[in-house]
Amino acid sequence: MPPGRFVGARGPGCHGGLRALAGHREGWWMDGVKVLGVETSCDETACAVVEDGRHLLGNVVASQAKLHQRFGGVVPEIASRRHLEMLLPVLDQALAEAGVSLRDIEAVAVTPGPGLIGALLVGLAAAKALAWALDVPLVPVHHLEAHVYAAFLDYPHLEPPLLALVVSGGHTDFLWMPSHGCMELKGRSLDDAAGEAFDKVGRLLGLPYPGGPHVEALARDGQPTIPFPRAWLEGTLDFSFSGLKTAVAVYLRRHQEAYRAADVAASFQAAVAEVLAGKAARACSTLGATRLVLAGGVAANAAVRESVRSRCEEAGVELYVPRPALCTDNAAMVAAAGYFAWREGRRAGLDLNASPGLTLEAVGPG
Amino acid sequence: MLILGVETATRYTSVALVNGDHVLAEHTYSGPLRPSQVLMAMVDRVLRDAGVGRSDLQGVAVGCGPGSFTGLRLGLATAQALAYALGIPVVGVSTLETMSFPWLRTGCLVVPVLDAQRGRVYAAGFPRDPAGFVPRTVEWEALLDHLAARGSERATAGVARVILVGEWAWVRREEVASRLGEHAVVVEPHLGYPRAAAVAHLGRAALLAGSPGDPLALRAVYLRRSEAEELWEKRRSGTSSGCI
Ligand SMILES: [Zn+2]
Repeated sequence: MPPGRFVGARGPGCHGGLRALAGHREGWWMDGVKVLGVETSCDETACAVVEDGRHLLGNVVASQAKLHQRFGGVVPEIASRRHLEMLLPVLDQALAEAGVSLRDIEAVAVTPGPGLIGALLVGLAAAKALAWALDVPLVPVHHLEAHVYAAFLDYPHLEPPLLALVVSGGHTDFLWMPSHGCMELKGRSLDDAAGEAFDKVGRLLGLPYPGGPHVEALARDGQPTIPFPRAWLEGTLDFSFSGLKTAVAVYLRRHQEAYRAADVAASFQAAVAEVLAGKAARACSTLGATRLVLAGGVAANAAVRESVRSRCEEAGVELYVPRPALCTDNAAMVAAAGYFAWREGRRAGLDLNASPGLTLEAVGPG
Repeated sequence: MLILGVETATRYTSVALVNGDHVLAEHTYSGPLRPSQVLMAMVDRVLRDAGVGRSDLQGVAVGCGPGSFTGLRLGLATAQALAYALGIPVVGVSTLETMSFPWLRTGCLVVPVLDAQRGRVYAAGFPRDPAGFVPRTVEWEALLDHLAARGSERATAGVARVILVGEWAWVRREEVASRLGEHAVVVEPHLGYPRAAAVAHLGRAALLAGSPGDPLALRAVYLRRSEAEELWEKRRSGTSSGCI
């Protein structure tokens, strides 16, 4: 096997999964399969146990946000150190919460990317060691794929085909999912991700890191009266948010002290929400999608959720938004995606490496 | 006691299976593949080579630093997860002590040296240096000064010579010779890298001496903070020149 390639990304590999399981279980082959998820791609150390890709048994996230606050952003070396310290305690707690022992785990799912290389490596090393020690399959899960699968935990009857809009600090992506184990990138941000724009505007307004939740809180006291620009990039499903961020910076400079920060936050947030919702509606009609999953950290923003919800209602599109705790980075979504990938026969060898710019195609769902 | 040794603090990735004083299998790699790609496959391989099952393992010993930050985390995350999943103890072993291990009975002062970036090195004196040299991060020049200045003190304590171990010292062996003369010997790199068999031996000794080996309690020894923290501290104390 050449280094960095995965075995049985789809197709016939599926039967490998079936056979492997038939060995230790009678009756329904997909009943009660517990997958352990490990996620360390940025600044959350997370482990979770999910049953059959739908039932959340235990989900623990140790956030490092406070640790990075004084630096105004995630410091990779500090994040990596904390991941190493927190990983086993978080795993221990997730297993306890799930009421299972490691011996009940039938597959270990892990994110090899995209993300911060040093951070990814900690979770990957631990996941490989766990899978080897337990003699169970190691299943690689793309971080974006995981965000989409968060919805399967909150909507037990949800099935593909569906369109997903993943909006976070690192991504603003449209993903078309015709079936399990298959995802296609249909649009993305050409510059800043939406969450990145939130963080940068937060910094411009003098709010602590991470900016997203603080901008949202501040916006609640403001009115969206300032007409910041919306970049529609007609004819594409791509996004651009750097112009909006610049417009906010210019506005603040021009008005010096004479502006209401709450109005700026509300106006900026309204612009982001309107573009996300408008493009989502357009993407659904272009691709003929009747179901939309809104996921990623920015999907935890109430104004964004509301805006997308109303546009989907108008367009007759069913909207699925995971609860906020499953929108931000967590390992439950990794375990959920891992279960479905495992069912499709996706496996990684012990030579699996972390990849900061991992593509969907490289893992298998693309 | 069947111990798995794991060492990834330097550019050598090393794995060994040790039973008592006997090395059953050892594998060291320093080729073009990334350590994270090869480590678990190497663990799998030494067990296969020795005909040992994973449930036969009784303990894990891992190089816990100082060394490459990323390398340390790879080794620790792997060793801790292995020990946790197999329900066996895991102990951390100093990279510097591992490097000094083959020369400990020579009657010399053994000084392992590792690159700590920007002209600094991680170094220590073994066995316990009579001139009080404990593991620390130090300027290379300052280390040579220290070794040159305290020679007579060591001679009085019966320490004849200094053995410098590690690639850093080997590359600068002429500098060492001109500063310390006959007082110092520099060991060839292939004899001086930290070997997993030594890690396993030292780990076994720690376990026999009563180390609890709790996987959740093990910590990496970085001996240096992140650059972001160093910079932040400098800015706060106002001694910064602006940027590093
Ligand atoms: Zn994410």
